[in-house]
Amino acid sequence: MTPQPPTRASSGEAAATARPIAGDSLWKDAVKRLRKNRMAMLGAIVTVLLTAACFVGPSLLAQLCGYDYETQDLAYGAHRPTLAHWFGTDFFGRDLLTRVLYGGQISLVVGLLAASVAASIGTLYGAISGYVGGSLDGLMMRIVDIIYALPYMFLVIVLVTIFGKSLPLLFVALGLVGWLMTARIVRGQMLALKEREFVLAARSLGVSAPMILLRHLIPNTLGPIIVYFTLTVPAMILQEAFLSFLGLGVQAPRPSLGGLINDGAQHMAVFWWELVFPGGVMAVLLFSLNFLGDGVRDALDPSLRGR
Amino acid sequence: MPSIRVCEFELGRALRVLALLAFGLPCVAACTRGAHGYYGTTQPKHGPDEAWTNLSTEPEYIDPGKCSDSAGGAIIVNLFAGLTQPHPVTLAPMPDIARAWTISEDGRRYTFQLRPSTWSDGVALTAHDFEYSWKRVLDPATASKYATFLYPLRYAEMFQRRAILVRGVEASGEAALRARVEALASIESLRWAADLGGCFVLLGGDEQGRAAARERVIRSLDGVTLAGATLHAALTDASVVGVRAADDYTLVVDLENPVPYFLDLVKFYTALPVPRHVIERLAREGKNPDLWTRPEHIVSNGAYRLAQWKFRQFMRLQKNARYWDAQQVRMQSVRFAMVESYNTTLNLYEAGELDAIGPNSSLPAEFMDQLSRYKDFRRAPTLASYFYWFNTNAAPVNDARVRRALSLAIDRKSLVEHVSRGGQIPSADLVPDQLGGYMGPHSPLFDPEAARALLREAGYGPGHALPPLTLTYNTTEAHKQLAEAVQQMWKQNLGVSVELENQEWKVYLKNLQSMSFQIARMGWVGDYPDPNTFLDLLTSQNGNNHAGWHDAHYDQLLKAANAITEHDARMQKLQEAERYVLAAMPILPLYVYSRSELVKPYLMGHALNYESRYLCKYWWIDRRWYDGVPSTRAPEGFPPEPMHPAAAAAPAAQGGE
Amino acid sequence: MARFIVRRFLGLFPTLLVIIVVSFLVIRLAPGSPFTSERGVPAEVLVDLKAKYGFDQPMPKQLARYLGNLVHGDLGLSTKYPQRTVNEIIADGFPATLLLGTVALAWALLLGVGAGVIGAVRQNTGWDYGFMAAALLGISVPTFVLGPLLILIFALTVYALPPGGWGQLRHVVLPALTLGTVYAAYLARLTRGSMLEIVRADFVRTARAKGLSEPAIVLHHMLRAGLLPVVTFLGPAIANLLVGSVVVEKIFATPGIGPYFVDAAFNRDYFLVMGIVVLDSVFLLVMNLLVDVTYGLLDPRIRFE
Repeated sequence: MTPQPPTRASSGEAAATARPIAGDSLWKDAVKRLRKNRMAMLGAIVTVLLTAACFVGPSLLAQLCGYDYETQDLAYGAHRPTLAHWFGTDFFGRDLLTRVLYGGQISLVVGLLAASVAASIGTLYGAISGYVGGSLDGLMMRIVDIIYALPYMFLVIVLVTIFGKSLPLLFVALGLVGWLMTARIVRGQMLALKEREFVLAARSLGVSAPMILLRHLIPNTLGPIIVYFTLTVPAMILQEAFLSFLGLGVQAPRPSLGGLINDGAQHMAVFWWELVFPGGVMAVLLFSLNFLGDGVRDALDPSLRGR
Repeated sequence: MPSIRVCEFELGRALRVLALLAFGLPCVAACTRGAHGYYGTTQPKHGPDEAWTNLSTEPEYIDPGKCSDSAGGAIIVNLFAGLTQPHPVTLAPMPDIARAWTISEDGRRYTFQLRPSTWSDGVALTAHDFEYSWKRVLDPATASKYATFLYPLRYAEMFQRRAILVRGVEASGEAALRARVEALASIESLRWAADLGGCFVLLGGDEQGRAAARERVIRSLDGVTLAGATLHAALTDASVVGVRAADDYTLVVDLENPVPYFLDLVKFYTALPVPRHVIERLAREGKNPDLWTRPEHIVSNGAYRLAQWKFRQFMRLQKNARYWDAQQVRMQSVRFAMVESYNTTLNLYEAGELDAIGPNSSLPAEFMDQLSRYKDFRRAPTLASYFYWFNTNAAPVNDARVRRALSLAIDRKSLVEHVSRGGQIPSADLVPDQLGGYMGPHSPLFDPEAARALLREAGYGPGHALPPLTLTYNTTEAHKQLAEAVQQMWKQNLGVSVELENQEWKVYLKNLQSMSFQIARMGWVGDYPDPNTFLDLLTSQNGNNHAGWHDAHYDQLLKAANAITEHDARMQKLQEAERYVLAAMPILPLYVYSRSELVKPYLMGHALNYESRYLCKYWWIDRRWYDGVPSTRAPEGFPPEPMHPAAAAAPAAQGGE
Repeated sequence: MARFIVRRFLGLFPTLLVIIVVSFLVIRLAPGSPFTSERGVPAEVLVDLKAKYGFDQPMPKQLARYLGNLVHGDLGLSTKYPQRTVNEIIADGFPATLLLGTVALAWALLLGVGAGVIGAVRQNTGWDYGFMAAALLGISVPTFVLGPLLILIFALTVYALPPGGWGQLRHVVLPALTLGTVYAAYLARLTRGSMLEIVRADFVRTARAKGLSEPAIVLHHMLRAGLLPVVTFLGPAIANLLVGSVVVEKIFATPGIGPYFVDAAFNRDYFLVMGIVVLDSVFLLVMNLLVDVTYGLLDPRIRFE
């Protein structure tokens, strides 16, 4: 699996739905506006740098310092940051920087991919439910309710028992609930938007329902979608740590960002660096994704178009 | 999160907040407010006759007969008094309700002389209560999870497992009987009982089908004439079980085999009495008799009675004025909270809300270094072993040489010193040393050279590496840490690659019981201070033997050892058995557990014993600590002199055969 | 509208039934049983234990019995706490959870919606950046970090509040802050995001052109329309808050029902799991019904046919 830098993943998806409205010019306009947004560009750059660091960093550290994520030095143990170990070392004397970057790989992939899939499914599902309305809406939303209410831990335990632990199953387990809130939010927006003048106009002009959905309705709900997407990413990263608890997800000694934060929280009174650094990386990722998300939202805002 | 305090200087409160905000967490680990080297406050926060501690979790049962969880056990030993009681430090059995006892020559009959005593409601406690209580544990209808604990009683297993007792048949009729029964159902075993003039029949097959099969067999056998005699077939009832009240104050116990540690067994919570009069009253009133342990109904006979029970919050024990030894009990009230998180527990201890962190709370490895510097920190080994099971049916660990190589490649000292850190005793033996005067074989703790040689001998070496192994553990931080370290040791010392796999507890147990694992962790807590409690684990019949290792010679060795009545000779034989099992190594011992805890300096009369038993009746508060730190230690009068049984009375004549 | 509510309300029952039936079956598929324990339990004992809870019956029969009891409000017996019924257990813990959830909710709404509105109205100002940075921090600091941090500051450094426990009002403060802050952070982000959609909408410009005061515009026009996603989020969020949080209730030793979501599953305490599922579902379904009703109130153009 080659993870996409988040910039392309999110804006590309947004563009794909927005494109039919005004062809290339909108896409170009949006990119132009995005480029002008300094905070958004900063967010994009940091995200790309962070991704690059996660994927290049561990092998670089192995080359330069001979660190890897699993070799232990029990006698050295947990030690605060030093020049040799910038993030300090963990309980087993392993270089924390290496572990954070290595763990970042899987967590970025898990977070971004699972959140993107969840956002796409949720958007489509919610849009159809809200736009068609009536008894179909009732049925689709009750299905969402049912999935939401089922005992999640049992679902995961049963899935692992039946299918064995694997990366695809991890995504299924994460995606199982990730899309529900997006679907609800989009559906709520649809209910309001479909009664607006511009939709009524389009409908009276004989524009087909899918076209109305893709051209007019979904672009108008991009704000909440993008916001919720950026909120889903960290939720997924932390959720992965919970799933490892059930035996699904990343297995020790391989680290993941969520797992490191979890461990760090348990040790924070004694080994503060074990929480501060993985947590810091997570916060930086979240900040940059949000600034980028806001920028994309502004850039694609239909009401700003042509300004 | 507990704020572990390391340095010993005072930092102004405001300064500390500032530092906290400015630097975040770093100062937490580094700065402290010391109190004479103790962790947190040393001023008692509660009344002078009151102690607060933590049970960590809501107990499942505080019914001695049904309890199988450590939280329940911790409460029960303070509420109920048995025939014998443990010495607070050594846990050696001392007289309690039984003031004296005699043991028959062959070691199979114990006659206990009970002292007159009452339940907390004033009703007299007699030998009949013990007979009732033990038979209740064995009664399958009670569904006691620890019923096997009383299997040493004669015919207890036959009653508990609902064997069919066929009377009127002699051993010579075995073939005929067997044929009769087999026509109707499969047989697990037949057992002849000459004194009953009959034979026990245990049926095989699955649990669900057995009930119907039993009915069939009884119906078709009862009243039938076989080899000239009329058979009487019935479900085994409680009357055959080897415990009986000869009179109100004499209890006669007959055992299947001599059990050298029987006096230790009878102090275990499963063997403590339950108030028959309360249970039967509830049944008469049409209430659920299981609810007799609720505070509104419960009656006990020990040092304390249950005064209050707030579900999942706390239990409060109040001194039982009717306990026979009540004048020795100083602590009037003990409160057991149910705080699960160790962080919260430490916080509450630091603030003085808890006087001791409790018998079930465990401290994480990371905190040990810091915590062990405090004066109120205590540590003692416990009667428990940590080990890995090998699935001896799964290649490549089906080869004893591979198993031994894996054992020798673990640096147990380093493991204990750097990973588990709790003062555990590194050990490659299964049985903790000194247990009932036992000395283990002291297997080598770490020998990577020998390990590699063994592996070569087994045919693995350069060019033919050992295939990757899988080490499974249930999801817990401590198990994960050990597994990660062991994984690295095996990799470095043997070049073996090992996958770690964590599983949720019940999934894990299921896989352990169905043998779907290769190497899996386990801890075993001994039930009584005798090597047998560990060695028995590996016998063929033991349901907790998860190695798939069945060895008739070993079974024989252990049986022979337990038949020896002379102590030293028995220990010798037991050691031989342990050597044998360690050579085959179906089990890979890592260390003997140890318990670390924090106890406020003003809580007196509290001992750390190897079962982590909190025996509150010895406790008292040193009141001088209300006014500051006293300069001398209070004279404790603790630990007490061991009590001895009264001079044995002549066996009760009136209760003879 | 009334007809819609009645129809929607009646629709709750089949949904609840599906949830109960599927859950009832799924939890039995998980390996292990309530009686699986580290030490082997004698087979005869197992038979009796199973019979006591009716686990020896065929599945459809068990399910029918459960549903029959449920109609009478009987949630069954707990296997982990064998002396208690599930009704007792829930009745015992629910008040604490409810109080904690309500206070947390109030805190989340106040902080979250407030910060979101200010952020949107003052977009790209210091206020906006400040509140949103705080919100992001709130999201990236999970409750299992925030809780201990608050304890460290308020309970162990300034001794203002107890580190845990229950019984007095001051015991509620720290867990409620911990629980509410994460929701506040989500709410702040969502409110700001949806308000921004509205800020530039035609009717707001019209209102502004009419010379309405800024607070009036914000409250009357923007907030109402901008609240749709927030209300959507709040439906399940309120349900979640009111039935408890595993992490927070464990950190602060709150005797509520939150921990059962995980513990009952680990213990395979089937009836307790079902009891929690039923309680959770009822809250969820009712909240989502209220969300739909609120849609109509917030935006009169929304009609449910």
